[in-house]
Amino acid sequence: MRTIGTLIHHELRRMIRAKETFWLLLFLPLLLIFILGNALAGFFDYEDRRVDPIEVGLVVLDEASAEFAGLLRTEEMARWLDVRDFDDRERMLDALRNREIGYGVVVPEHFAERATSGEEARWELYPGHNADANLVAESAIGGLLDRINFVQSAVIALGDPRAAEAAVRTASAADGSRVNVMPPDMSGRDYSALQYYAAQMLVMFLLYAGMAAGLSIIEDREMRTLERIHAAPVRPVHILAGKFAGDGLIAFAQALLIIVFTFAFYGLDWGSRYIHLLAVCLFIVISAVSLAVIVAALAPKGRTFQTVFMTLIMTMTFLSGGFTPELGGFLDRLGEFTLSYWASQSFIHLMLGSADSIVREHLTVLGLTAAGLFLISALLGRKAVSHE
Amino acid sequence: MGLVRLRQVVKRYGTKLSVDHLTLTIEQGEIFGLLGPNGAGKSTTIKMICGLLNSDEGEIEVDGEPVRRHPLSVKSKIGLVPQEIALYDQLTAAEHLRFFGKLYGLRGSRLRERIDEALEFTGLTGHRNERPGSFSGGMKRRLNIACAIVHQPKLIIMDEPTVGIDPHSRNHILESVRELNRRGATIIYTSHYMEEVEAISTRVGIIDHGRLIALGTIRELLTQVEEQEKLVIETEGLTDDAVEEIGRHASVRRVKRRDGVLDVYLRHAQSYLQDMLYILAKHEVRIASLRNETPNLETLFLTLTGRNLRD
Repeated sequence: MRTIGTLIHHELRRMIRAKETFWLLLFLPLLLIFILGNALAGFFDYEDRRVDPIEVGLVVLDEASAEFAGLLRTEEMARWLDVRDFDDRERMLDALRNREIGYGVVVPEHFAERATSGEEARWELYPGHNADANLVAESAIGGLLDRINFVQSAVIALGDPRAAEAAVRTASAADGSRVNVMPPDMSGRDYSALQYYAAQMLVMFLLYAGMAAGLSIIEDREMRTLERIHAAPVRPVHILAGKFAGDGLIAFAQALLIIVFTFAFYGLDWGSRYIHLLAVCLFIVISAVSLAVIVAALAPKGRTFQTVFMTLIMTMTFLSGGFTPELGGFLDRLGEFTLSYWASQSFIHLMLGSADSIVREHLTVLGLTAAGLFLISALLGRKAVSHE
Repeated sequence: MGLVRLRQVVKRYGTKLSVDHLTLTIEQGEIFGLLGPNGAGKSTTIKMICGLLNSDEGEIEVDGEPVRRHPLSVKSKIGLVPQEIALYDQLTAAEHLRFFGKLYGLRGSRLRERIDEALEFTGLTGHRNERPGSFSGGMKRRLNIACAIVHQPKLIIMDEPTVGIDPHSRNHILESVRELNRRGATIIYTSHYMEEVEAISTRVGIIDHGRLIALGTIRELLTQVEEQEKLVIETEGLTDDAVEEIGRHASVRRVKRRDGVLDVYLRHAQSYLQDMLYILAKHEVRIASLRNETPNLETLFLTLTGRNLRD
């Protein structure tokens, strides 16, 4: 452990003393957030881009769930969703593909049975072509599902539906309640350009922080200092752990500084779920450093590494809407396969105060991505820190 | 007592044999010069001794411990001065030593003492808080050495430590090597500068194509080529008779005539110099200049391989 501590301390010192660290990892993201957030504010003006009620195609495959499905048509929901019934899933999906509707929902068989038995009940959700519309629909429907599941749990616990409703209302009103049973983010809140680009830039620069970890490995390799470290009584796994933890800490500190700075000086609202916020940052940092280790293992030279990694960052940022929010069509779909998409959407959902289920879903995908990349980096790590 | 033992060690890179069944013992307390041209297998051998590379065949022991089975313990006894200057731009001289000292398990006051000693030994005390960017080539080389000796290793391996530095720094480094040896460290010193190896080594091994082609003290090795001592005599009025008579002398192995220049290969040239001058005078040949070329490790290498050491 002492050796790892020495290597972490060494890595931190090297990074902090490198001139580019300050400019690249701290000053530049804050500057870009400010410039993009202000320059493109018009694009995000709420009045200009007010989201009309989204046409949602609904297929109910469970007759007993008609009452639950009816909740999509309440007056409150009508502000956001315009529900259109379909007889079967295929027709609804055809309409979604042809852009006749913006979002699709299928209430599966036995949904009511599952919900009333207290099991977690899910609807099948089909996103459409418009990222904003998807966000609103997911937020509204996800929150509704949370509410259904919670009420059913209360009914089972208390035995009486009216008592359960009362308990739910009390829980909602109670200060410090752990469960939000209010309608999901229906308050008309929207994200500003500053928030959008803060999320996107934070993700992009956290990936850059990962790149710094890879560059540090390659610089050690090219300067032959890695060979020197290997000549000491140090195991390769210690070297990898030192790099990973040292650069990961720098990246994590960078994330916190940007969040605190943008909150304090730009008045940016990152939401109130701080643990989730930290978890998102942690998952991105793990993913970014893991990705850097993987690329460093495969790239023989610093220049190759930089080219490959920067191309990856730029492509992922572009596809996830980091430069322009609406790419449309195929590119939007492609963006959903990127780390940047899930990372930035996680931040945005936290900023919007989206339903727990949605945040959880994003965190799960992000966490699994981080775990997968970490596993691969652990397998390739020995090659990355090899001095040969 | 053998501090380093290599037995039938083989290392291949693909199909290329880099070290070919090398067997060698380096005794405790000696300065062992490992000599050979570039690509001969010196660095590969050193890396295997340090545990940086695994051998494909054979066994290597350092201080009685097999490198492959106890790599960390072996590494803690070795200080490697790599061929390249392996330093960090962001760290001061003292911080370099603190970092490497900690990797070797030094802590607290012992670490501080060792840092001071290593800086003093390499003449960098006055530069302890400076970064290598402001150092001359020689100072960087010295810091490179300081990083390897901060933990007081039993065995110091120096891989071409004087490449690309001025004569003053070179002398400083060679003197440091002798001093480290006097303080008890065993040194393995590789170079393709045979003058350096001749100057400091107690024993020399010459390696070529991964094989050890000569091993012994300088004196032992040079006896193999003592017959190749050469007198180079520039003459005026050189005659065939004079050349013939010199060739008949008992000590002379070979005579080569290049116009007025005579190359006389003989044993113990100094002893027979008088005889050579007498023969030339007898044939009324005037001597313009004369020099005696004694064989060295370069000559030995040339004799053994047919190539120059620095080819």
